Amino acid sequence: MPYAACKACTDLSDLQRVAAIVLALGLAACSSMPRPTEQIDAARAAVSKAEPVVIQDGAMELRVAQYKLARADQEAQRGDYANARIYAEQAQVDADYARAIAENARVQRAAADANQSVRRLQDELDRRAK
Amino acid sequence: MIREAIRHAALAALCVCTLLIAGCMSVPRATNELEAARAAYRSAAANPQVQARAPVELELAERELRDAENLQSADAEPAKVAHFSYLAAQRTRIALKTAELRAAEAAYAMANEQRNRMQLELGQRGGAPLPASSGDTAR
Repeated sequence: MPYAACKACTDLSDLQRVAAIVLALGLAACSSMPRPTEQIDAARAAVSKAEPVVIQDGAMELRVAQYKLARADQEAQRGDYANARIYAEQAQVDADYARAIAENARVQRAAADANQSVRRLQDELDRRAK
Repeated sequence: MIREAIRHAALAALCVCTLLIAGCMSVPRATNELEAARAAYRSAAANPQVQARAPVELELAERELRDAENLQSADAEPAKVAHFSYLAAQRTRIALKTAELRAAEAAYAMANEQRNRMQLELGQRGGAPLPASSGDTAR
């Protein structure tokens, strides 16, 4: 029986054998890597959440996230799900980082403003105490 | 006969040496990315401010780093290791920024409270109008 199997192998032309291998690899790739819908959705949500918050600080990081999200969509359309997933996962963390930068900058400014008001009020209180 | 055996032994030794050298040289590893991510994570994880103010974010960074480490020791593709190292490094940066943000929120809350107290005090003393407050930009 093993002999028969080998005989079948040697009887195939080289082209047929290559085609069979390519087909097998293609099927393996398809079954192991599904379309990364979840990752792309998560990336899109993270970018949408960052966009209204980021004005100046974090703008560069947000642009990188937007670019990677667009690439993830492109790769998914082409059927390269492995690369689509990588772009989507990176876009998500880049967008989260952009949002953290922007929110931090906003609250730092608010805290500085409040401290300035406190100093002004203290001056005013000191002046009236005289 | 003995000379034959020696020749075979020498040949075998040569083969083994060649294989060893090839083994050492081959696998291109994403060591730099992983090394950098590991160093960044360790420094953030050792920071008490980050531990206290961004523990969840730090945990997420640790998870990505663990994935990168596991892939590296399983001899996964270098690109894959580099990808998870990137995620770990970004999550570490997010943890640092978040800790900074929470500290700023606490500072803002304190200054705001102080400002309100002082405005009240000035109002009670009466007299000249209060200086305009300009700090209501947070939330």
